[in-house]
Order: sequence, then C-alpha cells, then structure tokens
Amino acid sequence: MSFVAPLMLIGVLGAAVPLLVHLIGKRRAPRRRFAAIDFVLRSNRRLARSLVIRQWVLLALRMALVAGMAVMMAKPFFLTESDLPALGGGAQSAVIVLDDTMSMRWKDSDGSLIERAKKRAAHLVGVLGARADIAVISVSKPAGPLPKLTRDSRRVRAAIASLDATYRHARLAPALTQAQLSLRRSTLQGRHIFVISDMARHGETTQSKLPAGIAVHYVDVAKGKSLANRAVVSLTAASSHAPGQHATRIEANICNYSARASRVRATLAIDGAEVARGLVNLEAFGCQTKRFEHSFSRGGAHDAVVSIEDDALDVDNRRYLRVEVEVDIKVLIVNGSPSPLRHRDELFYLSAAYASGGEGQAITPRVTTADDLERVRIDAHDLVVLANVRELPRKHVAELEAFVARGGGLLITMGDQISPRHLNRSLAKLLPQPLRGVTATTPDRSGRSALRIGRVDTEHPVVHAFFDERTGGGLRQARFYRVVRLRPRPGSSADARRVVASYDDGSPALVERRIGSGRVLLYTSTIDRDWNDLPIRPGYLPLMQQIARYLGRALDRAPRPPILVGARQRVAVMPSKQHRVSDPSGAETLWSIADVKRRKHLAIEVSRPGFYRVAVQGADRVWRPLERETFASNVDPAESDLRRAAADPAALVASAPKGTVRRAKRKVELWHGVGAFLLAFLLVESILTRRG
Amino acid sequence: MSSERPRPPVRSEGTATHAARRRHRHLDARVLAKLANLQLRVRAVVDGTMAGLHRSPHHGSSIEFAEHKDYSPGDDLRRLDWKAYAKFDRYYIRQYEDETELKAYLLLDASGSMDYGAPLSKLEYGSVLVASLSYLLARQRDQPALVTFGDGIRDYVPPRSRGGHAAAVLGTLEALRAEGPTHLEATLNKLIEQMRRRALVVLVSDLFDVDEAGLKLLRHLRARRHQVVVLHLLHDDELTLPFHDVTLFEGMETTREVLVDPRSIRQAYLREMQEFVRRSESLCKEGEITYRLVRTGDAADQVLLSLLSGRAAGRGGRARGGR
Repeated sequence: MSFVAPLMLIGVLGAAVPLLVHLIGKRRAPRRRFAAIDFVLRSNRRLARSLVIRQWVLLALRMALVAGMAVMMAKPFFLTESDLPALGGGAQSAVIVLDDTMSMRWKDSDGSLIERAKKRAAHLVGVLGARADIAVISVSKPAGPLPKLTRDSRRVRAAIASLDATYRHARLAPALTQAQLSLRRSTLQGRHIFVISDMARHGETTQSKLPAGIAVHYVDVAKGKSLANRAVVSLTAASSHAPGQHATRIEANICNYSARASRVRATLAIDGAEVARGLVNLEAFGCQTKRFEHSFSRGGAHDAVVSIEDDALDVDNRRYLRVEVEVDIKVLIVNGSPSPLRHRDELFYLSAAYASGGEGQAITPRVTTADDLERVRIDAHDLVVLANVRELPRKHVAELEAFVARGGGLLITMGDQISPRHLNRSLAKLLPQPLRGVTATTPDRSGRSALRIGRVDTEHPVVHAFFDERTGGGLRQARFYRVVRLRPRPGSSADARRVVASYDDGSPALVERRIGSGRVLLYTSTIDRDWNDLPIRPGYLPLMQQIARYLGRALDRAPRPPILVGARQRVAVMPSKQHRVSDPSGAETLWSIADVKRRKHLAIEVSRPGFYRVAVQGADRVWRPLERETFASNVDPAESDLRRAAADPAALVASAPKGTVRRAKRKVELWHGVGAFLLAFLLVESILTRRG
Repeated sequence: MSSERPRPPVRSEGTATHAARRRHRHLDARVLAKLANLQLRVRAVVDGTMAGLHRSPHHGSSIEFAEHKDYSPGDDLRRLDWKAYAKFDRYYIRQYEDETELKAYLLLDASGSMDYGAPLSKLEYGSVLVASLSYLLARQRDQPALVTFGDGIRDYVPPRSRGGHAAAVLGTLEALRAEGPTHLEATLNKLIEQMRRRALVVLVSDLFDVDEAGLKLLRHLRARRHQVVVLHLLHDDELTLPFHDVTLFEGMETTREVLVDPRSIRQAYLREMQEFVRRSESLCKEGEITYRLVRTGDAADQVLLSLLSGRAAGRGGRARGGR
C-alpha cells in the first residue's frame, strides 16, 4: 500500500487524544458522598461488563475515527497486477482462444466457467483498444467463430457472445495452430495469443514451438483452483447368470475428482423408468464400480442410463448405453418335401438341430409349405429356409426379395424336388449363383468316391466359431453323394458372393450372397440324408445353428462401441426410404429419398450426449424406428477430471513460450473505502453515545 | 383502671382558614431550612398541621372493650350489659382495657446515611417530623418518647407527658448528629424490653442498611399489638439519581466508593430503588405496619396531617383498637 500524501499520517498520533481525554476525565471526576451507594454499586456491578465493553468500544471507535481521518487524508492506494498483460491501445494483433469444451460448463454461485471466460474475453477486447486486429477461435472448433483478424470490435464481441460451452472434449494444440495461422498474415509488431481456459489437466497437450514474436498469455478463469467434480465415466452391459429372464449385468464406473471423499447415489434407468438405485462410497480422487443386475422382461434393444446426483458439472453425471438383449431367432421353413413318416421328412434333421438349443439365442422354427405360404407373414421372421422347394409363387418371390433387401436372411437347400431351370428363373434375383444341374458323384452309396468338404473359409462367421483344421469341425467326415453344380453368375463381381465351403473337387458347397441389407446362403446338397450323411456328422448341428444365427443377424447384435460426443456415427440406410434422425434434445434431421439414393450410410455428427434415434418412413407414410441403428453417445470422460494441469499454466502447451510481456498494473485508491468506514464508525459512535 | 374519660377533641388554635392552609402547605425542606432552629421549624409544622385538623384523631377511641365477667354484688351497674342479659338471661359486667395515656416511641434513624441532603438533610427533616409529632402527642396528653439510634440506641428520652418534656425532646434533637452505621435490630431489642404495654412506635428512617431481622422485629412489635408506623424518609436525589457527569460516589456509612457515569446506570439504579421501596412497603403491609414513603421534598405538615387525619386516623384507631 502506498500513500499520495504520507506526511498526513502524522495525524494518526491524534488517535491518542481520545485516550488522554478518557484518562484525564477519569482523574477529574467530582466526588460525591451519597447515601444510596449500595444501589449505585449494585447497578454498576450488573451493568459493569456491558458498560466496560461499550466504553472500550467507544474509545476504540473514537481513536479509529481520529486515526482514520489522518489515513484518509494521506490518500492510500495500492497497485494490482492484472492477469492481462500491459498492452496499451496501440496497433497490435491478437487471437483470443476461448475454451468452450465440456468442462467449461462447470458452474458455481459465480456462474459458469464459460460465462466468466466470455466476460474476460470481452474485457480483453476493451483492453486491446480500437487499433487492434483481433480474431476469436474456440478450442472445440478451431475454425470458428472468427478465425480471421478484424478491427471491427463489434464483430469480435458478437463472435465471443455466440460461443457457448459444448459437450466436446478437445485439446489446445489445434486451436493454437489455428491461432498461429491467423497471426501469420498480420504485419503488426505485437502479436499475442490469449488462451482463456479453466487450465484443467485434460487440456494438456504438446505443441511445436511457436514462431518468434508471438506471445502466449493464459487467463485462468478457475482462478488457480482445482475444481471438484464427480462423474460416471463408463457404462457396460453383459449377460448375467443371475436368476431371471434375460438377466443382464450393467456396470458403471463412477469417479470422484476432488480431495474430499463422498457418497453418491447411483440410479439405473431402463427405457426411461428408474429400476434400481444404490449408494457408492467414493474416496478422494478415487473411482468405484457400481454393479446392477437387471432382468429384462423382453429381448431386443433397450436404453440404459446410469446417473448420479447433480453437482457443479452435471453433464457428466449420467451415462447412456444401448443394451441388446438376446431374442429368439424366428425361422420360417418352407418344406418342399414333407412326409407323414417323420424320419422321411425333409426337415427331420434340421428340426432336431434347431430344437437342441445350446448357447446363445433360441431358434424358433415355423414350418410351412409353398402352398400355405399365403397364410404366413414373412416379415415377422428373421430367416426363411427354402428346403427342397421346387418353385415359389411369383408373389411370394417378390415378397421374399423385399424381405432380404430389408435385412432378412434366406437359406436355400437342394433336394429331389428342385428343378434348376425353374429355380433359376423364379429365384434369379436371390440365388448367389445360378444352378447348373444335379450331379451324382457315385452310382452306388458305397461312399468310396463320394465328395467331401474341402476348402473352408474359416473367417466366415458361419464356421468361424466351431471349425478348426485339425478336426475339420465335424464337417470333413461327411460324404456327399449328390450335389448341385453351379454356374458362374453372369456380370457379377467377385465381391457379390462368397464361398463359405467347397467340396474337395472345388465346386461350391455353401455360397453366400448379400442383397441389400440381407444375406442369402445357398447349400448345394440336401438338408437331410437324401444326398449326404452330414446330418449324422458332428458338424451338422453347429453348422445349422450358426447358419440360423448368421442369417438371423443374431451374430451382428453385439453392442456398438461407445460413441463419444464429437465423433461421427455411420448409420446404414434403407434404399428408397426417407430417413429421420432425432438427437437427444429432440431436434430432428430429415434425409429425403434423393439424399440417401446413392448412399449406403448416413454420417451423423454427434454433438450432445444421449440417444440418437433413426426412423424410416414406410409407404403408408408412417415412421418406423430402426432399433438396430439407434445409438447412445456420451461425453468424453477425460473432460471430467478438472484437476490443475500444473503450477505453470504454460505447461498446458509443453513447449510453447510463455508470454513475457509486462503485466498490467492498476492503481486502486482506497480513501473512498476508508471514508465509508469512518462514516459507519461515526454512526455507531453516535448510537452508542446516545444509548449511554 | 381509669374511668371512662372522654378526651377533648384536638382543635385548631385559630381559625382554620384556607389561606392558612395554603400558607403551611409548602413547609418543605427548603422552607424549613430558612427557619433558624428546630423549635421554630416544629412550631411552623405544628401550626400547619393543627390548621388542617378538624378534630382529634383519637376522639372517642380511648375506651376499649376487653371482655365480660359475671356480675357480683358491688359492681358498677352502669357497666351491666343489658343486651347480654336479654340474650343469655344472665348478668354480665363489661370490662375495658386498662385506660391510660398512650405511650408513643418515636424512633429516629441517626446513622451516617441520614446526613444526606441540602439545604436540609434527611436527619434534620426527620427531626422536624419527630419533634412535631412529639408536640402533637403531648398536647393530647399522650406520652411521647424519643429514641435516636445508629449502631445502637444513641439518645433516649423516656415517655412523659409533663410540661418540659417537649423541650427535652427538642434539645436532644438539636444536638443530634448523623454518623455511623445503622443497626435497627439492636435498637429494637433493647426497646422491646421496656414496652410492656401497648404503645405507638413511629420509625423515621431511610431504611438503608436495615436488614431483614430489623424489619422482622418491627413485625414482632406489631404482633404484640403495638401500633407501628414507618415513615420511609428518602431524598429526591436518592429516588431519581439526577446527576449527569462521571462521578466518584462515596459511601456515607462505609468507606466504599465507585466511579461511574450516572447516565449509564440510571435505568438500573432506578429499578433497584423502586424494588427497594416496593419491597419495604410490601414487608410492612404484610406485617400490618403502616408505611409511608416520605420525600424530603414533601411539606412536613402535610405529611403529619395525612398521617393524623382521616385515613391515617382510621388506621391508627384500628391499630389501637386491636386487629
């Protein structure tokens, strides 16, 4: 503290005057003999303490008044150093890098960090003056909002005002690079980069050395504090052995980024309804896993959210997950050769294979014939098996084509009922390859010259799970006496089909073709023992079950990896359909049929946490959700850790030179405050005197 | 036992005109202080008091019925109770209390605290009251006694009704000086031994330093059918604490002293004093003791007048007549 007129401080000695007056007055008090002295004594004793205190307070106030007058006349002041450099109002260029990442949403009674940052930025614009060229860029999107230097302070202020905290996580390096680019065009002498941030450790980055002549200044809106925060940093789901239907274990990892241990309540919500809650004890700077066991009443996709109580940064207090609960695979089997004798029926072995259960989803077959197909809704199934079917009515073929295009599965097996010529004509759009004709490998059934399984695409999901070269997966022992040979598909690319397995003479045994979103598998022999003995070999059962799972897309239903805000999510499109994507806030984006015409995927930019839902419009103009494409997005857990990066904010950018410009100093005069205090003292003194 | 002897009513020596009453109504401490000696002061006060009285406060109350006794030959037939004969068909003779001059013990506190006050101290003011009362009682042939006390009995003028007794009382009072502590209990203990017959006891004191035991003895006197009157004499300063400057107060009976700002303690002091007066009055009333707060600013004749006239006379009559 300094004084404009320090000599006036001599007047402080005047504070002794009230004390002397008090002492002298005490000595000169008149003496009076008084009969009722006992009453005086008693009254004085009762009031003694408060009187003494009041008298001392009065004395202190009077001394302070005299001393305060002297201090006020000496005009005290002090100089403060701003966190901004002493820039003056000269011509210079500056880039304001404003941190708008998720952590800037942290707020307390003074408001959010982003509000503070914007205030500091606006103040900085004033400090830089009217002759400064200024650009404004955000950390989350360095290309905006005002990357080019301008002298129009209104535009600069508007750009600052337009910024708001995002849900993104970002590092400083790209923003600093952008800031250099912005300054490169400047020819002015002074070039500055101002980083206005919370200086949390998640922003730490490495940055190549900045060019000479550019000074970096850091404005810490967190005022040097480590900000306390709690967050749900991960959420996973897996099937559980707990009793109950579709039992699922959901685990949330909850972290405490503060120096004080705490206890939080974690809540699990499924499809918007709270289903469980529990307490989690969190140690200082510790994490804890909260485990929920939940039984789903039905299979399919569900929305799961685990949340904790809100704190200063509430956006990371909940985490979202799409949980896929296994469902039965519904198989429609069209039996082309039914028989009243059970063991002679075409589906005798296939039904047994489907019924055997095993791990994974149950397979629920429904058997019909080509004639009865009229009564069945193909769309209600995941997979259709054409077992030794000679011919399908044209109407059902079209229906089947649409079913496959929408993502359905189709398995075509051969037999004595089929006619390659008919089948090539009716299922031309579905067959992976046209049929050439039936070949009998041996005139008798001795098996000595029968075909066997030769090459197997072990990477294919159908065989990958159980096939190994040593044992042959139980497939290589099988003998094939009669098979259908295939013709190459005219004009088709090699990618359109995939041979899963071949016979040892090289001809295909199992061929796949993808049509639209669907898959078709062609098996060139019979599904029963008419043409081979595979049904009695160990490989038959896993092969049939895996084919059902693969074509029924059960193998594709693994949960999507977590999507973080800021990433792009690819969503498969359905041709000739209008698409609608709803983000977590309810905002909708429409893609017309023309938009999706030549696309296989839509790229959705994920900008906020929550569930993104995709729907398509049917011919009846009704929007139907695409459950498989719905996905959850979450904030980057790195943003939740608000601990300080380092003592020196320059450590945020490891090799960036710290600004060496002299800090601005401001003279703060104190005599107004002293005067206000003196007035208050005077008021109190008069009240106490009056009450005395 | 004396015969029934009606007393002449005490009448004013002159005509009790309103002008005279107005003139004497202001015989307060300031006026009395201008009179050179106690005798003149007493005379002024007595004149004022007599002017205010229309009749003796003890008129017709000197005969006190005591009990009945069976008639026996030789008894005075004038005392035969005919109403009792009509009721019980037997002869009863009415008997009366022993009738003689009333003995009045006038107790004046002469402790150091009574020295307070100017131009007339509490002691001087009390002396005027006591002397005037003594004179008035002597006029109606009662026997006033003077007891001055401090730590113990300091002066004692025994009860007499003969001429010259008043001069003795005045002489004692004129020579009296206020000093020393108060010890009412010791005073009363000695006095009780001499009070064999019912008497009037008038205590003039500021009651400072009078302990519970002293007041209990007063109640004891009342229980023994003595009439007791307490004139609680206080100076206006003691009742209002009118001082403003920081003052070093010194005790008058002790060496205690205290430096205080009277303004700061006034509220508490007044509460203490009011509680003291209230408690003194309450204790007196509980013991059926006549209590009167007398301020030195009050006109002395008016004090005596109110004591002797109407209400005070009624109380006195009842007290003398029994419970």
